[in-house]
Formats: sequence, C-alpha cells, structure tokens
Amino acid sequence: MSFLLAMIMMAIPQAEAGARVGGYARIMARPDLQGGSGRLGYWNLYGRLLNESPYAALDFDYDVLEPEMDGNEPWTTIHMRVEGGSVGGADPGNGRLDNFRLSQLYVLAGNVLLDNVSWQVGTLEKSMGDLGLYDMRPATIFFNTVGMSAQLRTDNVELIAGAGDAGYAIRGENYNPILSTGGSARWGIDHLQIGAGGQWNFESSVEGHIHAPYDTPSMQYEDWIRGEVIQSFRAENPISADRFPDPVSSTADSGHLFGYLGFGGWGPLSWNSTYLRWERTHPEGPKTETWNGESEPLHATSFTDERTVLTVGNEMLLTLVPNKLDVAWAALYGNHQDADNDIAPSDHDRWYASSVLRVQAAITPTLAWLTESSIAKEYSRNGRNIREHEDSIFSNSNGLADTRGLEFGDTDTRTTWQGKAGFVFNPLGPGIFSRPSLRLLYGLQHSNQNNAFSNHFVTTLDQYNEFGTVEQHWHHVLALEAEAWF
Amino acid sequence: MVLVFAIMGCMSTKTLPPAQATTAVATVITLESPEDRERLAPPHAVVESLRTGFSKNGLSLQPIGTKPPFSQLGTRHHRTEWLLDQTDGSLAVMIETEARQRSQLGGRFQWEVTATITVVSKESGVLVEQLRLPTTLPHIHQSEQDALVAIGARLAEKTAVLIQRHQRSGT
Repeated sequence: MSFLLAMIMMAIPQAEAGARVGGYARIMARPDLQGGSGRLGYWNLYGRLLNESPYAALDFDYDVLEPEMDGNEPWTTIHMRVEGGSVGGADPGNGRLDNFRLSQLYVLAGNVLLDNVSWQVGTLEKSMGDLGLYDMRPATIFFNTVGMSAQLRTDNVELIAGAGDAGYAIRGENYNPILSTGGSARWGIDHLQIGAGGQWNFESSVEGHIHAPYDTPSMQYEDWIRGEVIQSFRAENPISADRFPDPVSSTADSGHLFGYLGFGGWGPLSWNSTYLRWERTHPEGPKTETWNGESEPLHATSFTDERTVLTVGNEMLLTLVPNKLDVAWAALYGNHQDADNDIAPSDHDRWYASSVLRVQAAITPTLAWLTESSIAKEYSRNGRNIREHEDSIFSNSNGLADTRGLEFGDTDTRTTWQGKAGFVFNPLGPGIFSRPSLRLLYGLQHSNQNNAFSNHFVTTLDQYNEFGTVEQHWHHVLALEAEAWF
Repeated sequence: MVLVFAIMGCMSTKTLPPAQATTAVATVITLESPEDRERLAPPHAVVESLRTGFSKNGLSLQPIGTKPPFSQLGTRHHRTEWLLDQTDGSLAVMIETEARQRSQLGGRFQWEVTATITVVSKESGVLVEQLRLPTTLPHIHQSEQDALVAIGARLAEKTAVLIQRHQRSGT
C-alpha cells in the first residue's frame, strides 16, 4: 500500500505553476423609451446601481517564483490588468478594443533584503477599500503613479511607502515628469481598523520644455473663461507686430490626504467604513485659443492651482437576518472649491450630499428581492448651472436673459430622487454583495432638472429646430443586467 | 409579473437525494499562507460549511486532531499514511489549502484558495484533486481565514463529490 501511495503521489499534477486570472464584468440592457442612453441618472451620486455603463476588466498574475512555505527564498509575481468601458451591443463603443487599456503592470517581489516586506515596481495603485454603493474609493494612493513601493505587513500593521512619476497619467501626450511620493499606514485588530495616507505630486519648471508648467502673463481670468484673451490683447495692442506675451515659467504641485476608520462584527453590524479625503487637484496644462486667425497657447497654471475637493463618505453593512435580509446604507458629502474662480459656475465650485439605502431580501438561497432608494442635492456656488425647463435658456439671474452672462441655467440646485427594485439571481448564494449577480430591475428618477439623464435631445430654442424640445422630470428604465467578480 | 412567474417557474428545484446510510469521513483540513510562511488554524465556520456540505451528500464529518501541525508531517505521502493509520484504513479525507491575496480590483480584494483534496481508504486507494477557488472579499483587513470561509460551501460541495467518486471506484 505504501509503495502504491508513493507512486500515486508522484503522479499528482502539481498546481499549474504560475498563471492566475481574475476580473470584473458588468453588462446591461436598459431601454427607457424616453430618449435616454441607458442610465437612470447622470452619475454615481445617486447610487451606482442603474447609473453605470458596461465595464470589463481582466486581471492576470504569473508567479515567476512561487512563495514556498518552508524556506526563505525570494518569490516574485508579474501582474497585468486590461480594462475598459465598452461591450459589443451594449454601448456606443460596441466593444471596440480602443476603449480598453493596459491599466496596470507591475512586478511584485518578496523575501528580498527585508522580511515581511514586498517590493512593487511598475504601476503602484493601492486602496483601503471602497464605498461600494457609490463605487468610489477615497482611500487610494498612487492611482496615477508608476514607480516603486515597499509594503511592510505584520499581523496588525500595514505600511506602504513609494515614489515615482505621475507625468504620463496626468499630462498624457503633453508629458512632463511629475514627481510623486507618498504612503499609507493601517493598524487594526479584529473589530477595528484605522488608516491614513497621502500623496504629493510636484512638477518642476524645465526651461524650454513646451509641456512644462507656465503662465501667460497679463491674462485676466474672465477673458480666459470666456475665450477672449487674444481679443482683449489685440484691443489694446492692435498692431500685429505686437508680440503676444511669452509664457513665464512656473511650477505646479498637487496632492491628497485621507483617513479611514472601519469597525464591525458586532451583532447585526457586519462592517462600517468611514472615509475622509482632502485633495488639491493638479493645475491644468495649456489650451489653445483662436481669434481672428491668430492662435495662441494659453498657460493657466496660476488660474487652476487652488482647486480643492473634500470628500466624506460612510457605508454601513447590516445583516439583519443571516442569509435572509441584508441592508447597506451609505452617505456621501463632497465640497469642491476653486479659489481662483469667483465668477462662473463650474464643477470645481459646488457641494453635494447624498444618501443611498439598499435592502436585499432572500426569497430562496439564490433568488432575492432588491430595493434601493437614494436622495441627493447638488449646489453650484458660482451661480446657476441647472436648466429646470425646456426654455430655461431665456432665464438667468433675476429671470432675465443675459447673453453675456456666465450662468447656464435658471437654478443653482439639482435635487434628485431615485428608486430601484427588482429580482436578483445570485448563483453563489445570498448576500448583498454576492456575485455573480443577474438582475431584473425597474428604476425611477425624479429631478428638478429637465431631462436629467444622458440623452440626445436638442436643447436649442432656435425657430429652425426641427425636433422641438421636451420637458420631463420623471425618468423610468427597465434593466436586464449582470455583474460579476471572478 | 407574468415574466417574473415564468422565470421562477423555470428555476430548477433541486431534489434531495434519497435517504441513505450516513458514511463517516475522518477529515483533516489545513490552511497555509505561503507569502507570510504561516500555518493558520482553519476557522470554525469552514468546518461547519464542510459538515453541512457533507451531510447534504450523506456523509458525516469526523474531525481529526493533530499534534504537531499536520502539514509539518513530512510529505503528502507521509501525511496520507499517517491518516490511514489513524483511521485503521477506513475512509478519510485530507484538505490542504493555501490562500493568497491575488489583487486589488475596484476597491475589492481578490483572493485565491488552492485546495489539494486527498481521499483515501485502504480498500479503494487514493484519489487526489487540486482545485483553485477564487473569491473577492470586500474589506482590506480580511485575511486568509476569511478567504477560506468565503469559499467554504464550494469546497464542501467539491470535496463531497470527490468522496462519492472515490466510493464508487471501490465498488
């Protein structure tokens, strides 16, 4: 018997060394017969459910050297991710591969130089989790950085420090190196987790480099917003021999700090995650303005370097009846401020607050009934930017038409309510985040904004508009969709 | 609503297997974290998942305690021999698992559990199968034990199927 056993053991295929694959996918059909393009509302502030488009991600790992239990040999893994937001027949991109990108590539190595430390070279993104109902990750570092990081992990502590270059992620084709450095720390015991982290990016001036940060001197903010910088300059300098001012070299920096508090495992409270994040966004690069046949790049580093975003979010997961009734509740507050801009409504000068409640009741171990509701308010600080009515273009501040005004609509506040309900099929069993998940849902939205969803309506009130205008504040969608983590 | 009832009508309703004599299965389960080089205690919830999965298939889980840690008993061949000695050659199963965090994806944490399941009895010999069971956990603090709990029901089902195959091979 012993000999037989030994022979059989020798014949056992060892773990197919190396390759491991995972990923994420969501696809949906959401006809609404109201002119929408498949989403209930504008964005995730009203809950990600029914407000997101198709998405697919494939994640690959290959163990070049597998970690061994007995021994202290180095191990190393190569990781790649391909992802994108298009699927054939489900969105305008029709699954074309130009909608996808190799978003992650890194090599991870352990047991090199230091115990309990793993080294990562390549893309460095790390996160302490998400607000699942919003699909937002405030506690993330190195989202845009390629470089090197070290991660120390013990039973209760995790430390990450890294540095690299965020230039291509932030500037794209207009590349200029942006030094990025930061780190995070997390301490935890069974029922409590505390984390903090941050990242700082610095873009230095490089003499003569056309994509380095610059400022165009003597430029007025209002002219820049209106696209009238050259016009104003030529009004004061009408002779074409007068040279448009040369850009002046500058520097740019940006960064963020975050905190994370997690606790749970008490009674019905499965877990509660609280995130706090403060961010100063990176100044913009130049944009080209053309007037009267003259084109000039306008450098606006000092016009875009005081934009900040404060985000506070909380998500609570409750198991009221195990394997039968789950509840997820989340709230989000965001405050965007732009100290450079006091005149025009903008996404950089607004605040918003939202709350989402999802209840999922298991009918059988694999079939559930889902109900979700959200309420959200968005407020523009620098004037009105929401059109409540089809003829809003005629009304601005004080109800008066202002063709030179910077406002866009007839109100500064958007209030949105959404309700969603339907059947969910979870082959792997019950749970509010059990995946794969196949859903048959009905969604309903009311907003004070006219046509508050992505659409292709004509909004002009021109007498030659052959399609006419539409006013509607209720939006309905019926959704057949699937989502999977694998 | 008609559509809903149509869908529900099409759903398969699993019929329970006919009542049969319960077969005792001496069981050992181990959990390792190769990246941290740690041998971990399998959580109680996994043992319960296995117990439930076994009982649905007419099997009764009989845990076997080991000292020193089972996975330190030489090679898998030695451990299988040891298991046969403990059970006097009757049916036993050894589930050796390794859990590794694979990736972070969209704010979730992807893990993979590799399970080597060895079913052995003096009468029917040895049957070994290796499985890879991926799972996605929602929180950063979750560990190898949480990954094992998350795949517990699938592991139980697959182990029970393997035991039944092993039993059929001996008849």
